[in-house]
Amino acid sequence: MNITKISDGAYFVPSYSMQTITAGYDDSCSIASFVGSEDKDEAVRAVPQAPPVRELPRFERTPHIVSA
Amino acid sequence: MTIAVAIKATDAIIIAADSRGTIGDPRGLTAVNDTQQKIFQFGKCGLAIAGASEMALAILDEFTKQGLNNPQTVDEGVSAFAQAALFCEVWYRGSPPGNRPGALFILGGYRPDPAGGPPAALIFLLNSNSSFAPQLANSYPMMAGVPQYAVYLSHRYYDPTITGNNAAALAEYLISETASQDPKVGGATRIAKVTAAGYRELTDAAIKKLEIRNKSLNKKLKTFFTK
Repeated sequence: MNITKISDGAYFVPSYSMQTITAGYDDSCSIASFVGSEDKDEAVRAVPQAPPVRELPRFERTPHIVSA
Repeated sequence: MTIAVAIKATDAIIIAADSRGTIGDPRGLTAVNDTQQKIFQFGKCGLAIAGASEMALAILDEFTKQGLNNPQTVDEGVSAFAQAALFCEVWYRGSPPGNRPGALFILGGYRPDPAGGPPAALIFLLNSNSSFAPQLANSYPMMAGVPQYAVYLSHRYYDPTITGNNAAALAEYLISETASQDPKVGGATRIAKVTAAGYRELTDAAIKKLEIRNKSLNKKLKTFFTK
């Protein structure tokens, strides 16, 4: 819970109910976070992506037709 | 929410708080109850709490179970909170630090002078977010909760030469003025005087007298701008 110093000798303390309610609406937080974080499945990993291949732009030259 | 204050006077430390608890999201529908106790005798010291009251009361209950609830000096009080950091670490080991409830304690008490001189009045702030590492107040009042109005008023009216009786009146004023502006603060004001001899709470009648006195002074102040 964020307890904020607002000046020497003065500390703002948000209400606990506000903290728990806003945490409940926060998608990144769930009731599981109060009883321990869930274990990530080690077998499921993102396959590292190869860096994109950069190609030089190709310029198609239009044939210059010279009329006689 | 809360407004809890501790004021150092020449002959006492004043500990005071409101008694309102709020339920619900302040952005929407809320309910209040005015039965919250927020100041406590802690041996010869005084405590005021702000934040998660259930956590604070659990800590005080654990102090009682472990025989830590009767510090005779402010330093013994601070040492008890070093223990509180340890049992909080056990209680909340399953919760990431950012998800743990938070409680703030304001501790007021005296440190005897080993040379036999007068004891020193000290006020500490103990924050669960920082494992109750002691933070020592300077000569200004210490306040927690919704302190914005009280900060301004204490800057206007506090003086280090203030007596205990006047500091009690100032504490009542800081709390009632905050309550007049922020509905999350309210209920009965409770005030205690801490001296080197111990902790004593003011009676409801004595606090009522201070409230009436402050209201009449407020009325007088208003006439400065309406006459």
